[in-house]
Amino acid sequence: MRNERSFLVVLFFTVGLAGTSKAPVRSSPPSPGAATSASVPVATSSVPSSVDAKGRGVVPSTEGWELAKVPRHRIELMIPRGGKIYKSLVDDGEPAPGFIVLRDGALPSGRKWLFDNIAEQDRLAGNSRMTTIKRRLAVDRELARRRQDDVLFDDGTAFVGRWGRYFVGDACGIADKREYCVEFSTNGEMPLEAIMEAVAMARSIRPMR
Amino acid sequence: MIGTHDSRRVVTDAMAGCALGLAVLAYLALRDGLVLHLWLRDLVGDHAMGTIRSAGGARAFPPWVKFSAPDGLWQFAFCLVMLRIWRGAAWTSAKVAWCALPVVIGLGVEIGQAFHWVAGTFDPIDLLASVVAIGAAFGFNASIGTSRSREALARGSWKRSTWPWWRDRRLPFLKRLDNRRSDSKPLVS
Repeated sequence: MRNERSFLVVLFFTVGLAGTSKAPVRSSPPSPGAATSASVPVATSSVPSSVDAKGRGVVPSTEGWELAKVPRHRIELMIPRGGKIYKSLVDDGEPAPGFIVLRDGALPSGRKWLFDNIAEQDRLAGNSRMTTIKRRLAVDRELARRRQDDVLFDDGTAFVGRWGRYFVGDACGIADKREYCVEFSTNGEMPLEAIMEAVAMARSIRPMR
Repeated sequence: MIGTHDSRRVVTDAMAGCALGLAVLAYLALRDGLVLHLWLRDLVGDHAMGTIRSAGGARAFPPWVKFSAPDGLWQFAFCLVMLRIWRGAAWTSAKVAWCALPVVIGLGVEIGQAFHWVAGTFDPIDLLASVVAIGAAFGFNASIGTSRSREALARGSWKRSTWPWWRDRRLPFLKRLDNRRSDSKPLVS
């Protein structure tokens, strides 16, 4: 009896240990009907050797920059103006006029970067829209999963349609929607280059009516 | 145990459960991109996962809490559960092997990462956390003593085995047993 129970315990804990390994990440999004735009160059990421597999040792630096050039007015939709992140992106370095150069390797992931920024702005504004946004998010994600048409990543972190509506649609004027979209994209695992890839893809999508 | 409630089992189960729960929570809330996230998202749903993830992401934790403490908690729970199963059994080779297995697996994974036999990143702090957890589990197990069977009691090999010993309900029974024995060797002093 003890042997059987011991075997089950070992099995349980070993499977749990396997669960703490890194999940496989899909780098190339399969997107039917949305061809990747060649107008925005997206380079491959160059993770510094000082960064280990757990993401430790990420040091913000200006070396190994420049993944994608995104028009400034589009980035301003995403990043609140005048914030710390905005200044570090716009005022540092030498961006081309009208463009913002996003650094590669400067931040561990786009998710954390965007989430921190949004959370900071939300705290400064003294409101708590995050819960409302998240509640809506769950509903919307479920709808998108049912549609199964424009899933950008396997785990359903981002959807082409959502990004397209955000970046080229006419809903961009509403501040709440903007945060909604950013939050939507930041809830899952989404590295910076993947965001840029999604941006590039969204530019080739017809605007939402 | 003979007709008495063993609070040690409850305490051990609670400790192991809490350690494992904390470890899982830390893995879910403080770490990114693990297989565990995919499993738990299917289990608890997107909304609950988002709540857990944002709760962890909004605070800054030191690296040893993020990376080493969950490993240690996992190791602690693993050792404790295994020792709990084999508590009170005679020290056969099977018991030694089963109780050594959590140690071998836990330390083996950490050391294997150093030699790139196992996927992952070797960290001496992880190793230290595992060693401390193993020591804590075995120390706790030794400190609360072991249950003895009725046969062991009849053999007279009974030592003070309950904790807290002053609340041991077997004492009257053992004293009666002691009175019946022909030899003068007392079971309870």
